[in-house]
Amino acid sequence: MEALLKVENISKEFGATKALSDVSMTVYPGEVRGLIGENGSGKSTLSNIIAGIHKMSDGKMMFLGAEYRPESVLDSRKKGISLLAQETGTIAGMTVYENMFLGEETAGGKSRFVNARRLKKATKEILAENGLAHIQPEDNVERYSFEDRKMIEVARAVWHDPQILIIDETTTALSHHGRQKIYEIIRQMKKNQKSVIFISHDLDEIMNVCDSVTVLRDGNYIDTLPHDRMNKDTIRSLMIGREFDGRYYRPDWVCTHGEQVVLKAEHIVYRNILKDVSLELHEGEILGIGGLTDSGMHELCKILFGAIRPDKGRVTYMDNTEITSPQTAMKKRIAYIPKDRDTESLFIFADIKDNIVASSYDQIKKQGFIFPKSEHELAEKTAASLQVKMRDVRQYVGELSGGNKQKVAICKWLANESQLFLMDCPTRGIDVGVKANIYLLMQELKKQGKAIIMVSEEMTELIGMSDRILILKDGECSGEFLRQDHPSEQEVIQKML
Amino acid sequence: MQAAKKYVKNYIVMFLVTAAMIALLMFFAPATRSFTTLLSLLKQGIAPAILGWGVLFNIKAGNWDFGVGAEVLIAAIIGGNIAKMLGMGIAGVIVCCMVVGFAAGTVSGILYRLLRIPTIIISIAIMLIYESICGIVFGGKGVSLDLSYLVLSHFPGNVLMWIAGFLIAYILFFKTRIGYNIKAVGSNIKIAEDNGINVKRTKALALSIAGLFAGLYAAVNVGSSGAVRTVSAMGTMGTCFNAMMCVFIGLSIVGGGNIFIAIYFGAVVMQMIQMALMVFGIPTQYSQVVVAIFVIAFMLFSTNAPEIRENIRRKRHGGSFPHLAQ
Repeated sequence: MEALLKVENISKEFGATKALSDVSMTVYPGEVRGLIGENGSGKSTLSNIIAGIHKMSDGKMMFLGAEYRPESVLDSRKKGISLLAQETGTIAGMTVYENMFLGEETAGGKSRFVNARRLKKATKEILAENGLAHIQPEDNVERYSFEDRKMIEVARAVWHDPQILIIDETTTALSHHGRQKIYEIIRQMKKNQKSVIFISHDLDEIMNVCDSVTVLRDGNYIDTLPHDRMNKDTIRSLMIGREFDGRYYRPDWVCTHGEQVVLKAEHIVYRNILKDVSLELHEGEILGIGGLTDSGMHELCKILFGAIRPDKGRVTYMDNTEITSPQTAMKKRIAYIPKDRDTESLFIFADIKDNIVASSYDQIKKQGFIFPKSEHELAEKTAASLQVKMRDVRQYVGELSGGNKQKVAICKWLANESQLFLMDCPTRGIDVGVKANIYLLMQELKKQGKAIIMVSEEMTELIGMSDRILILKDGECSGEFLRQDHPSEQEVIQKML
Repeated sequence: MQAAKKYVKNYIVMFLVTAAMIALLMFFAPATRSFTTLLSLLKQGIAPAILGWGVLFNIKAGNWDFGVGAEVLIAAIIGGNIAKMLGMGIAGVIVCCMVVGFAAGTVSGILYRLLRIPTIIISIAIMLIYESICGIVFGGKGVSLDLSYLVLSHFPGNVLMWIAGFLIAYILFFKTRIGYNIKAVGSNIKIAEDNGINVKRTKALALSIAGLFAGLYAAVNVGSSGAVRTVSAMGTMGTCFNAMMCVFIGLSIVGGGNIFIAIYFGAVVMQMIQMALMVFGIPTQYSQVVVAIFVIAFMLFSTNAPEIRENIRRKRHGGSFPHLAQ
């Protein structure tokens, strides 16, 4: 069979950093190729090169039998390759239809002028075709949820009817419904002899979705496994370069926390999203909060940090201080790690040092002055403690891989010695290695008596790490599980649906 | 009916704010209670609105361009003098000013692309250079036109200039890719770049467009007053800030309406404030302070509008307000 895409000996350097080294890969028509590797292994760099975002430093690509060297994303889209990026790909402040036709406002029109009416009509049709009829083309895209915005990107990518669709860790941001939509698109493409390059850290998902998987490690090609050779342990071992010992979550099965209540939420009501939710968090406790994406758990996390003000109810710290704003929360050493790290947690265009010390100026100031040396020392010490893969602390956060960005987001709160952690999907879109690091860190924090609330959409994570699990359904608490009861996934899911 | 409702909803804020400001002026200053005053305000808003329209392109693209006032100056002096020398009449003044303004803005854009330094630095350097050039060319005397040129201060010249400027701005912003690209670049450079938009080119084009409107504004100025004198030592910053203020007011009252009409109303409000200062005999030293206070008040309202709406929503739902004081 003739290859659809052939990547031959591609290398890519960013300054002194070698992101890809001599990588080759061949994708055939109707194939769903998984691309897997630890954060920083070069998956996104490779997909970005194929999609025209980055230019390769060396190597060659062939697409549909001809040499392929895209000038830009638009160029690659025109040639038949679309990318669903890992990060948010819609622009806040612009309408849905403007985002849908970003960079292609005159495409398909008869004149060189933009016809907004035509674009709105086309957008409406595209959205309807993709089951997104509730989204209005003329609305500002900000009005919609993270998932809706991601689905707008999906609709945009599919609308171009690509020969190859690259899905870069998109599914981790989506609910069950959103994932099913993506899987349906993949099935349809496969049926039409089109191909998909599928990047995910979810090994189960890779095994279910892909026909074959290519493993990258530290920018190098490691192996390509056909479906009959794909098994989790082999993939994990290839990814990390050693045997995976399988230890991931907490080994114990008992609730081990103090008596002291460190954070209390009482009768929280917020719009129609949360209806009278109360909870208590104890010192040294990992409290898991689970539910469907729209259950209200993400909003609850924001309310606990003071970032959203509830319509009714109150959140209080152990000394009875009411948490009414992020400033109050931070004064009480409460940390918040949001789900959408790129837009809510990190200064993407600032360096690692500035991101890490952003909430720690009070700790490092001397007689009211902040000295660069202290900033550097704190940033370097904290980044080293979580093994952030970086050139140095002056590297821009935007250049880091997803997992390393998440490490920086966590470092920010470790640097200011936070005592209570609100983690909203802390392992979303990150690889097994970084995941394991975060789980170890959570256990370490717990040992130190620090309290953690972990909002998660992953059942195994909730069960594996929490002392107690609260399940939210339609804005209400629908169930509670204790660690010693060893709840099964089935039991937890039953309370969610 | 639905369309009419939508239209009213989109434009009600800007109409009401402007009407309320004018009503206040007329209430406190009986001397201004005349149709002539109202007409005069609407007329005086034309020129600053035109420059504001150009400045909007820069603001939306994320450019800081302090050179736009100097571009007005150089467009008026060089464009006006060339048209005068060649006996081209008022049409020639308009064309020459626009060409020189566009060229002046394009030079800023080219320097920005070549030197790869922030627009704020480029624009300050450009401002100093253009002001100096104006002090040298044509004997440093600026430009002076005879009465036959002065047709842009009254109807229909002023209205035609407003329409021409509005159409150019509207088409560029809403009907061409450059307008959409400018919005995208100003809102999120990374995503814009990832979608194939040439960020540097877009930002440079925004500088050129601002220059074009600086030329149009210069033509209205020369065609209204007949003379423009040279300015030095960053004296053109005032022109630039006045235009920015029209834009800020426009952005705060635009609601769902057309931003260019909102900027025009912003310019009318600015003129109204200036007139009020004169009527109440407030010394000119304080006028900038008063204007600045008004702009801050407008921005305060528009920036906090979502919060205000949220608090109203809470009140309706009978929620408690422990945090309002913060």
